[in-house]
Amino acid sequence: MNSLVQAAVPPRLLLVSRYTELLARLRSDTAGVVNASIATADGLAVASTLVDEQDADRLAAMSGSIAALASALTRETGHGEPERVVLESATGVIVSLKVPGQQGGLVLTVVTDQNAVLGKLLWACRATAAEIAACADALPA
Amino acid sequence: MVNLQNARPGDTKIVFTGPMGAGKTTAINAVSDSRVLSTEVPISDGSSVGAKSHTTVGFDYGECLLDDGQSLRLFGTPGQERFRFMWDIIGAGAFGLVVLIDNSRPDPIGDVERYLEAFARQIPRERTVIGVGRLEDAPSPSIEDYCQRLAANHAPVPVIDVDVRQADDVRLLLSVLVSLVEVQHE
Repeated sequence: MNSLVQAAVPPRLLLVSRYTELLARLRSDTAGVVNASIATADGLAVASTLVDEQDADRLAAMSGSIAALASALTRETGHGEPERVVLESATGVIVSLKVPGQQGGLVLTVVTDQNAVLGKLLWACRATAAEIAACADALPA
Repeated sequence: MVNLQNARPGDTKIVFTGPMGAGKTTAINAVSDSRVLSTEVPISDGSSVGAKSHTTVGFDYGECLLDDGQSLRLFGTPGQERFRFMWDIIGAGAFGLVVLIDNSRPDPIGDVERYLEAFARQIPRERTVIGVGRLEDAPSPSIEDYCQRLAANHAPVPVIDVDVRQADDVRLLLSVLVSLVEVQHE
C-alpha cells in the first residue's frame, strides 16, 4: 500500500518533503536557529520552516540575490566561488550557502538569534547543504 | 542648462528596468565600453522567454561614454516582481530611468505603467524613456498607442523603437534621456 502511494506522488514533491524534514532537523538540532529555507538560484522558494508563505517567498528572492552578489564580488576580486555568506548583526546571524546542482543549484539560508554559536552553526549548515545536494542527485532526471 | 561635465557621480547613474526577457542585460552589454558586471543565474522554473536561459537576480553594471564625452554608469535591475527590494536599492540616487519593454508580452503598455509606478518615488517621470523591443514580431500596440495611453494617464514620456542588441539603438535611448534633462534646465 505504502509503495503504491509513493509511486503516485510526483518525485519532486517527495524531494520537497525531504528538504522540509532536513530543514526542520537543522532547526531543532542547532542552537539559535530561528528559521531555515531553501531557494532556487533565481530566487524561488523551494522549502522553508517559515509558516507564512509570503515571508518564505521574500526570503527566497533575497537569498538568490545575495548569493549571486557574493559570487560576483568574489569572482571580480579573483577569489572564485564563495563558500558561504555570513551576515552578523547585534541580534543574530544569517548564513547563506550555495548547494551545487542542476539549473544553477539551490541556496540554503539560515536565520538565527543570539544563541547561535557560529562554528557549530556553520558546521551544521554545511552538513545540511551536503544532504540537500545528495537528495537532489538521487532524483531521477 | 545643466553642465553634465561637472555633474556629481550620482548624477550619471542610469537604471535599466522592465520585465524579464525585455533585454536589460543585453542592452547594457551592447553599449558598455568595458566588461559588464553581471549577476545572472540559470532560470529554474521553465518561465524562460524564447532562447533566454539566464536571468539577473542582483544587478548588471556597465559604463558608457556618450559622443559628447558624458560618461554614464548603467545599472540593470532584475525584472521579476519578487526582486522589488533590489529595485529600491538600485533606484536610490539614480538620475534617469530606461524602461525596456517586450512588445510580444500580453499587456506591454500595462508593463510600462507598472515599472513607472515602481520607480516613481525615486526617479522623476521627466527623466524617463521607454524602449520598445520586438516590434517586428509583435507590431501591436504601436508606438503611437503607447504615447496616447501614457499621455492620457501620466506626463508624456518619449517612446522609442529599440533593438537592444544594437549599440546604436541603446545609445539613442541614452542620448534622448540626457537631452531631456538638458532641455528641462534651459
